[in-house]
Amino acid sequence: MNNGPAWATWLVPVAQVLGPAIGWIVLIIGWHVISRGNDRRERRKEVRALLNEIRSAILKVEEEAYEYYGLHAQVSQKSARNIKRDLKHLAGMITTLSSLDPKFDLDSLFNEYRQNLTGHDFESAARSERLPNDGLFVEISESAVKLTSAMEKMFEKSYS
Amino acid sequence: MSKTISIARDFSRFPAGRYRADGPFSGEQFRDDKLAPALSQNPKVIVDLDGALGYGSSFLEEAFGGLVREKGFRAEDLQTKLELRSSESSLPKEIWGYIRNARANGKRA
Repeated sequence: MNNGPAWATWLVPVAQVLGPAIGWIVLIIGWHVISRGNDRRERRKEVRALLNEIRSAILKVEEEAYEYYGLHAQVSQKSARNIKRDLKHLAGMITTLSSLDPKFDLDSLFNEYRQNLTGHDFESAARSERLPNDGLFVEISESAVKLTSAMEKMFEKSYS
Repeated sequence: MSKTISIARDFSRFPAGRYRADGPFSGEQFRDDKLAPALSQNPKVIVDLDGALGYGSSFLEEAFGGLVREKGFRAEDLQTKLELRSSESSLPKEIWGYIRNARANGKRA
């Protein structure tokens, strides 16, 4: 004789069938949550390392630009080549960064930086050396800061 | 039929400078000797930007912005006639900016 509540008569067999399945579901959800957390931490590490590399490269090109524009056109070809080579390397890293995380869309800021570095009279045979207080150096520096700040803001927004 | 121009293969791996007076392999030289003739003779031109040491914006502006400013091409027509290929995502965007901002017979943007 069963004197228990009516719902118990169907709950018990249902629980017997679903019990092991619920355990598996909880396990799978738990594994998924942990795995996503690990992926996120790994991605964060990768992005951070790449951002650090990009920051160093930006500073390096900026210094090369100060050297280049401080020299006369006739003796600055090597510096010009170094700037172009390092900008290409930097552009590649920025492309890699946006493939790692599409939220890092830095192309327009990078282009602004490249234009300030290599627009104007860059590689002009008629170019004269610029004085250290020339406005171009300020423009170069400002665009470098804009680029690095935007990167850091994006990182903070996405990974903090 | 489309024509593909690889800057590194068909022009130079070391493109440099804006004007011919700036030295060999300038933007003006590339535009006048390679790009503009190819655009006039072919319905579509693909420019492959990979393989060169790197580009200065002065070269890019003169070569591509100069198509509109100096050679009379219309930016709208170039959008269908010209295709840019590069492993750097920023490079085609910069070039299209020069093409859009250039004014026929005007000053540089």
